[in-house]
Amino acid sequence: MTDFNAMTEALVECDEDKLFEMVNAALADNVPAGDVLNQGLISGMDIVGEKMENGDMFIPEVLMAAQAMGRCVEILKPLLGEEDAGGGANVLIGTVKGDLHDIGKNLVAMMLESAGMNVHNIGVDIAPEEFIAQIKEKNAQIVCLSALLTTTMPMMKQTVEAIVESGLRDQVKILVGGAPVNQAFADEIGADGFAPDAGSASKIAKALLN
Amino acid sequence: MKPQVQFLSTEEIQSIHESSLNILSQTGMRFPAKEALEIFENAGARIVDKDVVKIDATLVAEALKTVPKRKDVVLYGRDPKHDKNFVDHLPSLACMTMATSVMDPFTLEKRSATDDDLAKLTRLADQMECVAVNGGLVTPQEVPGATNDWSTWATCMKNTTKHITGGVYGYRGVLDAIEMGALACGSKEKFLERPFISGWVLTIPPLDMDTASLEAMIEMNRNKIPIMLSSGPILGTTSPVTIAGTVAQAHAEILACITLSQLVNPGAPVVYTSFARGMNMKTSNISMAGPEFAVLKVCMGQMGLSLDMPIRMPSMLRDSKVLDAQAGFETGMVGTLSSFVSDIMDSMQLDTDMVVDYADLVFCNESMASIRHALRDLDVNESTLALDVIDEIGPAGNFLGHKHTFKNFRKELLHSDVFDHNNWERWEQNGSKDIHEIALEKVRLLMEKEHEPLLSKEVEAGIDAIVDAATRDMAEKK
Repeated sequence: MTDFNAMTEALVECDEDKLFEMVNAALADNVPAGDVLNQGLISGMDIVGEKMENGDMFIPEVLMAAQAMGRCVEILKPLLGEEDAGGGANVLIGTVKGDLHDIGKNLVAMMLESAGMNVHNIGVDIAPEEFIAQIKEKNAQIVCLSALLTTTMPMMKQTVEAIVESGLRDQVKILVGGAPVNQAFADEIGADGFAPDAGSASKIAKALLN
Repeated sequence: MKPQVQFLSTEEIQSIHESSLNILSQTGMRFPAKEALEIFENAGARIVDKDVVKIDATLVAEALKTVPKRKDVVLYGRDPKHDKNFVDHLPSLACMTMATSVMDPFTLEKRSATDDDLAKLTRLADQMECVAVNGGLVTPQEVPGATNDWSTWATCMKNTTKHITGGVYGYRGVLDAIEMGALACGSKEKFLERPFISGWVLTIPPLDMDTASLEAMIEMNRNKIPIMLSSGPILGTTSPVTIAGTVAQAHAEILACITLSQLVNPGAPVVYTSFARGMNMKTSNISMAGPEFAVLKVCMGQMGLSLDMPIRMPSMLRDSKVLDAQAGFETGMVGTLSSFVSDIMDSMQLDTDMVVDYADLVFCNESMASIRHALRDLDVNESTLALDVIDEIGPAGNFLGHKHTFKNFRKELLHSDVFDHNNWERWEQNGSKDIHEIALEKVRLLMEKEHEPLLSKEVEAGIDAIVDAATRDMAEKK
């Protein structure tokens, strides 16, 4: 019998090889791929998320667990039915026009990916019209805007306004972040959420989706 | 390499050591105890003016041969897991002793320390990871002064399995502490095999000592109980105002006591210590947290290390009255500098050495963890250079998701849950607390924990009986 608890444990312990071995063994035992995904892997990542929130797990560990899960999902994918293979929300992330800061935005992208979202990281110095084109193309449900300079913060506002004008505002939730950004600014420009650091971004994104 | 801080060059250390030897042979030191004078006389030292001993360099050199070196000294814990050795340099905290007041952790008011405080503080220090040596952080003020050393030993023994250090008064103080220790660990034989206590020995600068301290020292030497040997002159008051002269004089006093200890019992363990300090020249208040104090700790530590001896320095005492920015700076400056040369550092007192704030135990413990982290040997090797990882990640990549990061980040980065390293928003979410509030919350949580008694009722009663007998006898003497 497949021990999903042991699988979950291996994931929480970031033991990629052990997890990979267990998933393969389960499939060899004809355990349905959907059960492995839901009862073994996703429930494991839920625990990882909780531990991260409580400060019991660190970012490199969360990423390692997510990588371990990713490797297993690759072998499950061909075996999954439509229903199970649906995947997470589409997220668009980029740094606004005029701003070349990359690092923090990439960290947020990694954290969102680790929470099971389909992240499209479109880079830095992104103009409002490019965000709009990408929202359509990627069918995004969340747009994350990053700015690290007080001089580029107004560009966040312009980007939000452009999304409103394009008629896509109801389709997407907008999340903003970056060192000079705060909740008051997020409220002022009409964003849906603000994440003060990469560690809290995925929690806030998940909350916006629900 | 191992990071280092030095104020004295090898030549200067040698020059100061020779100066100290000159002080001992020319000026000499006062040893007002009959037994000490007999021992020195038998060894060929010259005695002048009734009790001033002039000690030749050859006698000191003999003693330095037999005094145990770093690798041979262990401060035993009652529980062996708490043994403190000196093979590696891992700076740790010791309880400073004899504060008279506490900041109450619930009313936040300063009040007289009680035996109940001592029990609680000893239990807390027992749980602090960076505290290697426990002891009487406070002296209970409701206990008669003549025997409060006795009751302090008793309460400490009941509340910790770590090594305990503290004051001992005269021959009897030592013998009674040994009796208590024997009860706590099962037998006198067991205790003397692994004595889990050490006693303070303080000279009285310049070049003097008191009878009770000498007798206590001799009794500890006889039983090979480690002594925490300190000379603590005050710049410009009980030693020259200049650092070099003060170090030479303090080192001389320590050498004289080491000589006596090895004449009493070759191989008697000694921990090299100094309370050398400065004074406020307007008010005459002494300071144990100013810059000159830090310099003196490093210099004295270097002198002790030149003899390959274990080092203890009182370097996390703060002149500040409360756990504020001044206290933080004093902890950082004196604590960090001193840690380069010290193995154990007396700590956890404010108002120099008069007040214990419960929250400060958490603060000092965390400060020590930070200092330890900063003072680690830096490794440069294939794994730490990580060239293969740099190549793999390449330009514009990110190392956060790499196995090398995952494997090494916990030991490379210090993760404090006391010091706040978050951004403003997270700090606000966590209640906008300053360091005192955070430390206070943590110490209150620790105080809520229930503890099994560490000793049986019978053993505790036996220990109390020793204190009672001493109290009775002292009262009769009066």
